[in-house]
Amino acid sequence: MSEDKGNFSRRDFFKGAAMGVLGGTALAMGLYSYSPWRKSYFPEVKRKMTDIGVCKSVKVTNISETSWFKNAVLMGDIKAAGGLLVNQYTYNWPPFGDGTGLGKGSYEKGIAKIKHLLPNNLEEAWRTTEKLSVSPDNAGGFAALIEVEEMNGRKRKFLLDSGWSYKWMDESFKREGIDQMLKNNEIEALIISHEHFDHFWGVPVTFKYAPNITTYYPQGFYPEGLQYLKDAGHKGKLIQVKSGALNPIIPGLATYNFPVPIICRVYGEQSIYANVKDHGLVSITGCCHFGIIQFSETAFREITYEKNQLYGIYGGLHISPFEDWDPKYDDLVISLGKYNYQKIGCNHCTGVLCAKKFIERGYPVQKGTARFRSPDPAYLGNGDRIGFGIEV
Amino acid sequence: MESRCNDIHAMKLRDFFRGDIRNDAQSAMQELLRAILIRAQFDPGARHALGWRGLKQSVTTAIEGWTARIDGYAGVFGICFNSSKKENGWVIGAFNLSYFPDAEEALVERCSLRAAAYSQRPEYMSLVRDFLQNEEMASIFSIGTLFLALDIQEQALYLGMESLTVQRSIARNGVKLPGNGGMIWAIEPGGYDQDFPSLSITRAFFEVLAASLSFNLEQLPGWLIERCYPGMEIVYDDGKIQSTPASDIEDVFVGLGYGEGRFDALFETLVGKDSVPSNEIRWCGTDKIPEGYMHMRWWCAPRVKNRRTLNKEVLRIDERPPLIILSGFLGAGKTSFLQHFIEYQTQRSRFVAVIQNEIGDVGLDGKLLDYKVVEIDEGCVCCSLAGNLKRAVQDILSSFQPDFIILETTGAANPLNLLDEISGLEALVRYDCTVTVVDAVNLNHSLSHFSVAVDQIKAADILLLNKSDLVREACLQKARQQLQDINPQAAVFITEQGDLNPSLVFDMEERWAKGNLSSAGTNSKLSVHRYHSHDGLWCQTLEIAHPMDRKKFLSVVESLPPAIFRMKGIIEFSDTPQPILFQYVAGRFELSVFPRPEIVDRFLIVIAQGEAPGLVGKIYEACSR
Repeated sequence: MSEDKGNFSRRDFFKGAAMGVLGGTALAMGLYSYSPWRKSYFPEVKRKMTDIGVCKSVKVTNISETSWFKNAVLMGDIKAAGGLLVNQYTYNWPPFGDGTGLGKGSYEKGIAKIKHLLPNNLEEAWRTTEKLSVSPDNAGGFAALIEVEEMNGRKRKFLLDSGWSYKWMDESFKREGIDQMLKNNEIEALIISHEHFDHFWGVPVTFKYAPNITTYYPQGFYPEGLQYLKDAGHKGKLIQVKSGALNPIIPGLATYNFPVPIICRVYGEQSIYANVKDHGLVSITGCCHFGIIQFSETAFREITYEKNQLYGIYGGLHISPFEDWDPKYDDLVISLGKYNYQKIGCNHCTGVLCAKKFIERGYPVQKGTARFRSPDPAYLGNGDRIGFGIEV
Repeated sequence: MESRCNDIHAMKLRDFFRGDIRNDAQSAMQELLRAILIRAQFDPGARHALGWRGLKQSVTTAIEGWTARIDGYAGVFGICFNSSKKENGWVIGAFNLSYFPDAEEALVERCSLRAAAYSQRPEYMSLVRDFLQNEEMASIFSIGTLFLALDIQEQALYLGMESLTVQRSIARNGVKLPGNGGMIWAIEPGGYDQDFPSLSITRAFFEVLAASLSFNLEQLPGWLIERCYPGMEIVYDDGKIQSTPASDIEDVFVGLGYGEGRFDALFETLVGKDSVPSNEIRWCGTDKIPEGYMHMRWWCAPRVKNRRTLNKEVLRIDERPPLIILSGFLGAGKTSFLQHFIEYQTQRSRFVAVIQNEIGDVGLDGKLLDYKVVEIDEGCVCCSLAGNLKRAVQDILSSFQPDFIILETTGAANPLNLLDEISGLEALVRYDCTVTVVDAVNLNHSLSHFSVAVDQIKAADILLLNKSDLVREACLQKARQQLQDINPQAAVFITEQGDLNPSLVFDMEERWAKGNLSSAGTNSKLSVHRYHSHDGLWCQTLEIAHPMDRKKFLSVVESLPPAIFRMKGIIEFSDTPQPILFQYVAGRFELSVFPRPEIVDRFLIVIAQGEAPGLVGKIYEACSR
């Protein structure tokens, strides 16, 4: 009796019908809400709506977004070493090369070659590791300078990440005057977004100029990463940013650590949120590995911000670490539009063509000047700046 | 099978999960599930072998959830966190599991009327994507519960599920709905409102999740339990809703244990029932695996770890990278296409190798000479070498593991001539298709001046009519018609700057799930599922109930209309005992012995573009005895 309902096909009947057709039956009344096997569906979790305060403006200077110079070489190395699940410390990339070849390295053997030179003799350390590592010329790095203007006008500086190649990062630091700022204690803290080679392995460059700088790192660092912070010459305050909770830094500035596995055996990425008065929330990310969509939704859930507006974004924008089950949503260009960002500075892992498509679509992308090895003006490139709440 | 010893030191939990279960159980359990799901997606081969066909995270103001597709099911699964607790040294998380059938699936008939109504709404898929925003969606499609538990010492991990064999509600007085000008019986008195086969579907998802856990832990479970209790059904009339025992329904609990832990005590806590179980199956360590569980993916998942040591049999996938031939005149937009393609793949951490020949080097017979592997800007390529195509491919494969190989030919080359050479590469690469980029602006000129232009179009499986932005609509349609006249078989896409979303044409087999093939309780009619995409592309799956007549089938295949772009499936002919893997791309097909006798599903997935009335009927006919 149940199988053969005569000619009644539910699919045919309901196609195009309004829900009201079910009328006032027990069905419409919510039969679903009664069931011996139904537990309460949604637990009591509130929207956190934390107030992180406000600031007047935020300026971001791109110290370097060119994490590596040839994608082909990087991807080739990763693939040959065994793929995206392989521990990054085993690649035999600089600065942890030990001369045994791609995929056969380790943190311990690598650091042993250069530890005694860190952080004060980086030239020699890099020369040493170049000879022992795979693809040393491909290493660049990601780092950005963040200048927050408080409501009272006082300006405060922070460093997001410290890149990869000692050589390239030192050059980039000098170009932007970061070395002087660090020496003069103008930069209050180093915020490390995540343990990836292109954001973290260049920390000796920062510690050379400011070994006592307060350093924030995300919970989720592996033992090698914690050890490297010591071996790289850090002497200052070390603060672990717990995952899944807002970490306030100064009024209007906070970080949030997303506890997710990331490729190449990394875990957790913290991103920066700034609440700019009369404008809205600004997000500054390293790679946004977990996806810009997740990032934006989390902001919405966790923080209260000016004008309820997601105002700006700077950094590398990944769409998502995994494939959507519907191909037409696997498109960052379409997805980004939903959030209505008012000012976008993108680079690094975003993809040049993707950035160009943003521009073609009329998204408010601030273009760059494609200098110092940045590939294209669609990127906010090396040496370029972007201001939120301030013109640069 | 390798030893299932559970050495506690081997449990690699902390390698892929670094949450804090002591201080914040609720967040930690969500984080643990997140880690299991996400890390299983990183390697394309692994995620495919584990059974994933797409995952999306849903974050709302309240909680975190997921939607996913898995192998074998056309619909979408929804998972959301329900609750957590600490008990007896364990931290436990419970998650609700829902199944949102595809609108065309036969399973819709077994959903409740209300759920069936939802599934036919035009905005159904958006509601599914955002199911967390709507509690009703999550609950009326609910099929079971998943449990994750970690002991405080982190030496043991438990993954479990609970589901009813059938979720049933009976309308005592029947249900009448407006239709056909009057009222009709949607449900006869005493008939079934919901009669959904929840258990089998919950088990399927559980298998993929457990395989992912085995994969991440690099360890096999060492403990298994299945216990059944008598189940209930709901009976309602206008006034009352009550649950009553149902003799044919069971409430089934399954649990898997990894590492060393007191799983029995934990299991009793989770079950929490006073009633007497009707059946129990137990397994641990050295026993023989119970029959119903012998072929579960979670036993072999740990070996998916290193691509280089993959066992093809175990993984059921083809390790050879696909080879795509890219042809078209200089300036047509091949490089633009390549750039888009490579960037798309790179963003998803996939590696593309491109082989390009030197411009102008063509032998007397039109065959390409001197294959050099060169660098292209953003991204793919590798070494520089001269020599023939086979050597180029071998060299690439020996140093890298590309996810795609693209062979880019120049304007003067005739891709038809390549096909011989390509067939010689069969052991190394899987020839996928030929893409020809056509310049809409200069089409007429090319066609009238260069005979090779016609051949390039003829050879294509996919035609990109490019530079559409530089040409008027009328000319564009005329050009499209010209292309279709020369090559009625190929799928034509109109593009600007060579931009074609690869996921529409190249990932297809990854994502189009083969539909629900195990609808429990239905008799073996040919059930059909059609999945629509844009650009006129659609996908339909046919179940095949009987072995077919080989001659009849092949003659239909050989005369398939051009609308059909790809077909793939596991079929059987009446003249051979072994199952056969059938792969068809734009007029070419391949039959090979399918080496897995335990897979009993027989089906064909058809992917086509545009309308083709009677097409599916034709194939049905070929499939019938």
